[in-house]
Amino acid sequence: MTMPASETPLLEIQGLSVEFRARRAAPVQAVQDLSLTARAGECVVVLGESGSGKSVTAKAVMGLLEGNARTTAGSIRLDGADLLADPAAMRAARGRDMAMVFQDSLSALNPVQRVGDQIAEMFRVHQGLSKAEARTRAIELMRQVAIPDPERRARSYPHQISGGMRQRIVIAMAIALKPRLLIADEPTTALDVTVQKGILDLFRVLTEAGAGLVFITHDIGVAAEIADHIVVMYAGSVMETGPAREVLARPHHPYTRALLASVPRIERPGARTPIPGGLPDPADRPAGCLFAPRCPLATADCTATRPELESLEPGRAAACLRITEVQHVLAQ
Amino acid sequence: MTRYILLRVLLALSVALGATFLIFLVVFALPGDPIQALTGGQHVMSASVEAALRERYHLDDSLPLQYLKYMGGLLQGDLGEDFTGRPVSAIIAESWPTTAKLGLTAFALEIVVGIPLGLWAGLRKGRPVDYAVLGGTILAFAVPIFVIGYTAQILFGINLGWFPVAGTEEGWPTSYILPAVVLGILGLATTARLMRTSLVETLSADFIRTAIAKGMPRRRVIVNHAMRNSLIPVVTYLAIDLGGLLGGAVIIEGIFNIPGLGFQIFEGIKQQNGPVVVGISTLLVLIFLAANLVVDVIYGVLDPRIRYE
Ligand SMILES: Nc1ncnc2c1ncn2[C@@H]1O[C@H](COP(=O)(O)OP(=O)(O)O)[C@@H](O)[C@H]1O
Ligand code: SF4
Ligand SMILES: [Mg+2]
Repeated sequence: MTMPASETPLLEIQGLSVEFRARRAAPVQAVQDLSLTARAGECVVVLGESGSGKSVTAKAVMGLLEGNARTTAGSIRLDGADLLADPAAMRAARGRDMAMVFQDSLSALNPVQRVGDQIAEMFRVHQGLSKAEARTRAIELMRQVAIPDPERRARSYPHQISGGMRQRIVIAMAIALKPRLLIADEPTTALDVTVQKGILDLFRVLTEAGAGLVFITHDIGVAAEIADHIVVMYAGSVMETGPAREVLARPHHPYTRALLASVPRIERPGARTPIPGGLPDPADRPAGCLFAPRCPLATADCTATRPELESLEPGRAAACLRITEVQHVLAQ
Repeated sequence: MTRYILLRVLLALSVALGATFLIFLVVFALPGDPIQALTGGQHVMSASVEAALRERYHLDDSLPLQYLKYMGGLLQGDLGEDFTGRPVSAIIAESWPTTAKLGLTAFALEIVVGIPLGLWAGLRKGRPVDYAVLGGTILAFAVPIFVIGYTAQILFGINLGWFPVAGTEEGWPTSYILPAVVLGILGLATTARLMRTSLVETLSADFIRTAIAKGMPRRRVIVNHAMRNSLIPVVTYLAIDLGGLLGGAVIIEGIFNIPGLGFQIFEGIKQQNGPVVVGISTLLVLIFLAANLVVDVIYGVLDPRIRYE
């Protein structure tokens, strides 16, 4: 989807850095200089291994970071309003303009409150509806997210329903006030494949209805299924970004390529090359390229200089010092 | 829910049987002869009177048989008589209201002071209030109860003269406040600590994060989401503690010279007055079990995960 350049994006994160302070230890840099844009009606997938800072990014946008976390740089704009600079705007936006769907639906729901009441609470508090009205709306919403027999289900407690149903409840809660931005942090990771598919379909319907979706996952298959746009994250920073189809078909960055090669694919079954090594210690990050310790193409320069995210072709960018050589090799 | 309660009642009944038997065993298997103790070891009693007493209290039967006869009486509301012929039920009826007043006053203090203190500390985690509450509770745990009791007596009873030093002559509340504070201080400290820890833990739970993400105001997040969940362990503790408080407090009733159940047990043990000790102890076990039953029910009401298991 193309937008006129003048239009303000729904969500615009610029140069975001988040660190965690630790007692008697160097602060942990969880996110560094991260930029990301999400537009209405589009799904941006944030893709990266576990520990790469995806959840921290999501929590920063929602203003849900833990007490020991601090955003040290950057801005987060929702429809142009800077949420980091204006905590009141952040509070006002939560639930109403932006909402979040969490990974573990069991722990995300209040264990001692009926699920119907947890949805109805949105209407009661934000719109001042009566108990009965809010209940009716909650049941309507449950029907909308394809929960069978919603009248009965509404009276259940979270532990009494299946993981798939619970995640639908969490989604219903998130979309209750039709927020323009929806952030989903690995919403299907805890679910089995068939249930996963239903939830992904639901998200697709929501974006088609005009919501902007930031979808976080470490699963390339899921990303391929839902993404319009992909942001590849590694060790707290963006490595590569571009339209989903192109990034997945022709990855530029060595990390993206390694990531894609690390999962089995239908066209080459069994050929699975895990990336050697692990994420750098977030308290002791490489001075140069963050991926250098694991990169097969790393040179001395890579360990000294931190590459910037640079535009390669319209809509695509990568942070790699040797990107032209990589592309050259790829072309052959 | 009905099945759940029924199960708990059955469990409580079997525990009651086991516990009363144990008490019976311990008291009547005590070394020493109760008839001898009654007469101070002097042979002032004629052989026929002694035989009658032995007959009356089944002292020559085997222990299990004694127990069965005792339980038989208990089921008919007969707690027996002590060795001087006073019905145990009369002793209980006389001392129970005193103990109940003392225990309930202490219990009220635990709730009215302990819970708000814990909430306050929990909401101000890591701030001076939190540390002050922590320090106060550690002090309450560290100082032996009789030291607290005597200190309170000297300070508030003798030096300041705010409360009577001992006895129950001035009635409730004047005579009961000081002993109730001393009696409840441990429970109060435990309640505050439990409440604080439970609230802090709950506040970092995922569903609290969800409530904030839903845009719920802070007040609602705390009251509607955090509080009910964090009250579960506190209520459990309180209900169990109530069983203990209503069972009389041997030390406190001794220090403040309060003629309650604890006082009677103490006297009963001193005089090897088996029927009194067994009678009151059995009652205490039953109270304790009833309190536990109440806990289970409250627990089920507060936490649906347990209710439906
Ligand atoms: N509460 C926290 N305290 C300290 N460090 C944290 C905390 N949460 C996250 N981090 C750091 O941030 C990194 C990224 O975490 P996260 O965003 O959860 O990764 P993921 O991409 O798997 O969602 C972690 O590896 C960890 O070092
Ligand atoms: S900059 Fe160097 S180390 Fe980093 S990805 Fe590119 S080639 Fe690899
Ligand atoms: Mg995560």
